[in-house]
Parts: sequence; C-alpha cells; structure tokens
Amino acid sequence: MIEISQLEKIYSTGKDCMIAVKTTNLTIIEGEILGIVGESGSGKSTLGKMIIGLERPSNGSITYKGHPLWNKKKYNRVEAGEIQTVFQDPQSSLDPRMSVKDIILEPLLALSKVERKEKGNRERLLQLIKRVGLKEEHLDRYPHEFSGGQRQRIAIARALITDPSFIVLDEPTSALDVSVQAQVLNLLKELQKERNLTYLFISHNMSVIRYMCQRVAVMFKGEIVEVGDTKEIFEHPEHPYTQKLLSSVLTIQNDTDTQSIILK
Amino acid sequence: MLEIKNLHVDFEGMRGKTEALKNMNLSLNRGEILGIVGESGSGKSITALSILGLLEENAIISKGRILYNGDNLLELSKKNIQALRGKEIGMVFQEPMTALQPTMRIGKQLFNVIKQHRNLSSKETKEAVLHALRDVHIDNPELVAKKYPFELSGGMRQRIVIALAMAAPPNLLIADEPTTALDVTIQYEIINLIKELNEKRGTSVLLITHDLGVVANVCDRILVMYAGEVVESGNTKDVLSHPIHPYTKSLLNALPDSVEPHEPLQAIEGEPPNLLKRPKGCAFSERCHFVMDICKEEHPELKDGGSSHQASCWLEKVIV
Ligand SMILES: Nc1ncnc2c1ncn2[C@@H]1O[C@H](COP(=O)(O)OP(=O)(O)OP(=O)(O)O)[C@@H](O)[C@H]1O
Ligand SMILES: Nc1ncnc2c1ncn2[C@@H]1O[C@H](COP(=O)(O)OP(=O)(O)O)[C@@H](O)[C@H]1O
Ligand code: SF4
Ligand SMILES: [Mg+2]
Ligand SMILES: [Mg+2]
Repeated sequence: MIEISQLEKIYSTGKDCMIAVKTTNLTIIEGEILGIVGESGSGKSTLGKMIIGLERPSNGSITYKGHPLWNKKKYNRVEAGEIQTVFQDPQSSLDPRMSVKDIILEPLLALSKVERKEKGNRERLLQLIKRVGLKEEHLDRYPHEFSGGQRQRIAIARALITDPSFIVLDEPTSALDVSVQAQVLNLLKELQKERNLTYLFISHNMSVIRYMCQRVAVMFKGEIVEVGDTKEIFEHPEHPYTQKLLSSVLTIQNDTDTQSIILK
Repeated sequence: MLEIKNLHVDFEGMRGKTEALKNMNLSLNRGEILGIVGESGSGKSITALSILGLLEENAIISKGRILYNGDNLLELSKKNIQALRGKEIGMVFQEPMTALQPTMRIGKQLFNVIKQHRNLSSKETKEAVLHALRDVHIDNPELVAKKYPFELSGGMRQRIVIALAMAAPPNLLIADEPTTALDVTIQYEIINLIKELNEKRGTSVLLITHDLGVVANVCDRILVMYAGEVVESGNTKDVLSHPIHPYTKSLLNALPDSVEPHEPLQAIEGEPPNLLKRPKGCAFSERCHFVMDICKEEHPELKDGGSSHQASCWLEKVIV
C-alpha cells in the first residue's frame, strides 16, 4: 500500500544540520498494523509526518497505492481523508476552544461539498461516536472536560470521520494508564478489523507493539535497523540495538504453573 | 524509619472538598525499597509531597502523622523541614529539568550541594563532585562537570539529579516517577542505579511509579493505591503473583503482556470515582466484578499491622 524508498529528512538549524531520517526503505502492506519502535529522537515521528504531509522529505519518495505522495515540494493528497492520524497527547492535539462536535467534523473541511454533507450527517456522526465509546451529550462539550482516555476516543473519531484507509498512530496510548490503555487498544484493534484499516503504529512500549503489530520496524539514530515479523524479531533480534531494547524491558513474568514471579 | 499513620489530605476547591488521600498508612524500614504503584490521580505524588512538606497551599492535612525516626514531620517548622530535605531526605522527580538550575554548570551545582551538607575543604569538595558523578556512571566526569543541563540528554540529566539527591548523602531517597519520561534502555539503567545505591550505601528508597514492571524488578515491598487509598500491600512477589484485591488483579490483567495478540485485552471498564464525592463503601465497587451488597454500604478497611500481605476488600474478609 505504501512504498517508502531512499527517504531522508535533514533539518538544518543555522549552521548545524541534523539527519532525522537516513536513507530509509520501508513497505507498508494493506491491512496490516506495522509497528515502529526506537528510542526518543530516533526519527519515528518524523517518518510518520512525512507520510501524512506534515514534514517535507529532503530526498527519496513515498508512494501510496502507486501514487507519489510528494512531488518536489508539494504534498499531493491522494484522496482527501484517505490518510488520517492520531497523536500521542490528547491534551495538546485537540483545540481547546472547539467543541467535540467541531473537532470531530473538522477533517471534513478538506473534502468536497457533496462528500462533506454525506459524511458529516448527524446519523453517521452519532453512530461513530457511539462506536468509539462516547455519548451524544458529549458533542457539545469541550476537550478539557474529558479524561485522557476519552480525549483519545475523540481523536479516534476525528480520524475516522473521513472514512480513511490508512492511519498513522503516533504513541496513541503513551499518555494513558494501563487500564485505559487496554480500552483504547481494544478499540483500535476492533476498528482495524471492522474497517480493514492499515495502521502505522508508533510506540516505544514493546509490550504494546507485541500485542498490536504483525510486523515491526526498529529505528535507531534515523535508520531502520531491523524490520520483520513481530514474533520473529522478539524471539530472535538480530541488530544489537534491538537486542539491547528487548533486554531492557522490565516486565512481570508470571509463571502460571508455579505461580511464582521471575525477576530479571 | 518512615511511618505514615492515618494521613488524610484534602483540597478545598470551588466545587467542594477533594479527598485526595484517605487514611494512608505506610511504613518504610531502613535499607528497604518500598514501591507505591497506582494509576494517575491515585494519590502517589500527594503522598510524596506530604512527606517532603511540599504540598500546595490549598492542601489541608486534616488528620494523621508522618513519623521520621520518631519525629512527626507535620509538626516541624518550615525551616527544620527544609533542613531535612536534601540532607536527610533526597528527592528525584519525573522531570529532571525542574530540579536543575538551567544556567549553572553541573559541577558547580554539585559543588554547592556537597559544600552545604558535608564538612569538606574546597579541594575535597571538588574531588567529591567527580566522585559523585562517577557513582551515577557518568563516564567522563571532568567533561560533564563543565556542561550546562541543556547540553545533556534526558537520561544524563536524570543521573545528575540523582547525584544531587544523593550528595548529602541522605538516608532516604524519594523518587516520584523517576523514569517515566525516559527511554526503555535508559529507564533500565536508572533503575539499576537506584538499586545499586540502595545496596551499596544502604539508602532507603520510596519509589513511586505507575509501572508495574519497574516495581517488580526493584522493590522489596509495594503498596497499591486506588482513589487515594492503599488497597493492597505486601512483599512484591506476593502481591504480584498472588494479588488479593480485585483492583490489583484487574490492573495486572490489563497489561498487554497478559494475553496473546489475538485475544482482546482485559480492560477495566469505567473510570476511578470522583474524589469530590467518593462512594460510601468500597471505592472500587463501581468497577468490580465481585461486588456484593456490603461493598456499596460499608468501607472495607486495610488491617493495620498483622499479616505482611493485606488488602482492603470485603471478599478477602468473607473468605478468611
Ligand atoms: N522541526 C525540527 N527541527 C529540527 N530538528 C528536529 C525537528 N523535528 C525533529 N527534529 C529532530 O529530529 C530527530 C528525530 O525526531 P523525531 O521527533 O522523529 O523523534 P521520535 O523518534 O519521534 O522521538 P520520540 O520518541 O521522542 O517522539 C530528533 O533528533 C529531533 O530533535
Ligand atoms: N493542588 C491541587 N488541588 C486540587 N486537587 C489536587 C491538587 N493536587 C492534586 N490534586 C488531586 O489529588 C489527587 C491525587 O493526585 P496525585 O497524588 O498527584 O496523583 P498521582 O497518583 O498521579 O501522583 C488527584 O485526584 C488530583 O486531582
Ligand atoms: S470490597 Fe467488594 S467491591 Fe470492593 S474490591 Fe472487594 S469485592 Fe470488589
Ligand atoms: Mg515522536
Ligand atoms: Mg504523580
């Protein structure tokens, strides 16, 4: 579905330049959840932003179903609303002055009048918010009146309103507590199946990646150092950074037979 | 060495009284690492701030005592508690930048703190600075001492904060989410560092985190908090492998590691109660699968003392 080839992003600040993403090649297959892990500053978000059009690549290309997304300096959206996004911090990614209804409907502004009318009709909106676990009376409220988990549900509804095929999720549950994270991950997985969505799922939480993604790409200092089947990579990490990453995870390993807990 | 007894902390606000901590009890023994776990808003930081005398102005301590080596910290003067902070009790918070002076070189910051608390000559203090940096595994202390905080990575900064907190050296270290803002690999290093300082110097540690993986790997004992109350406490191993309280069980089950990728996660439905109007009975009753009539009417108490593993749940009392 998405082909990324020789992609690079160089930020120049004054006389310094910073290679955020280094000659990257990556394929995203239709219908999959592809994970991206890596340390802070490794270029995960920059990669995601180049796909959704928020950052311009310095070199290389991205194609979406065969169409190039970037033509020189210009982002060609395929079809408006095909590609959507959900960010980490539901607090700052939702405009505090807009009502929930306006927030959810905003992405439709990029669509044609006809489509806007069709996708923005009240019935469809109500169905959608119900699906993500919100209520009709929430529509007239403002983001600050909601908990972190609820705000992330609002962000998910906003991404779905245009009926996208592909969604970039950048740390969608990193700001949430475990119990709420579980609710949101369940919702994201169900929606992906129901609507045959493709996700690029950015996270630094290895357990979340293991649970959500069929394949995973490991980023280190702007490069994808390893990519493949999640299970395979978790069991046989090849790159030293992947090995370090996996051995640093602090988990509770409950051995169900002996009911004893193994501490690392 | 540290004991909290029946501590109640409220916040007076426009919409009424928030009961942020309700009947908190805790005891930390010398040389021990005690963990406090719980989700956001459960009262972990309020507990730490109460001990340190750093609660905000609108906080009201309506009941309770905080005993440190026998002295009630709540009765100490502002000056005395300030003297205790830093010297006796070191602290590390989530965001390292808040504990560092942005415009002062790392070496100078450490120099000042060591000079203040230890009776050393300037030359000895300079030595102690380098030593302190080496203790937190800074490879080239001479170089790092000359840097400003903004020139360092988040993990390095948190090491410096730990070095500052340990400089006096204190007998108790309070660390509130010390690794929450850090990468997995750096978290691992910082957690090992805290463990090492505890083993080498015998510093007691109160480690506050929402991450069960972290407590599983360092704490001797843990307290699980929910809605401002301790709902379960005991040895780490006992609590995590044989949880008694339904909340602790649900929390462990909600971790992505507890199911196979094709199974749905076991989320805890609903949300914690509004602390402005707590339920009359058990605070978890609205979300608990095992809820009984008594749970909604009467508040289950955590037995004080007694067995080392305990939970405040009617279910446990019915079975026992
Ligand atoms: N607008 C910008 N100008 C200059 N440098 C930038 C800019 N945005 C990002 N960078 C740099 O590019 C690198 C990659 O950043 P990016 O945000 O992609 O990291 P990340 O992997 O998403 O990290 P995190 O896990 O912290 O979110 C970093 O070194 C960052 O400092
Ligand atoms: N200054 C304040 N004014 C009013 N309520 C507060 C204040 N500080 C904390 N609270 C409330 O106290 C409760 C416990 O907070 P806290 O101890 O910070 O939680 P955490 O377990 O996440 O550290 C929360 O419900 C919070 O909203
Ligand atoms: S007291 Fe009742 S409601 Fe509360 S946790 Fe126990 S069984 Fe559940
Ligand atoms: Mg990022
Ligand atoms: Mg806190």
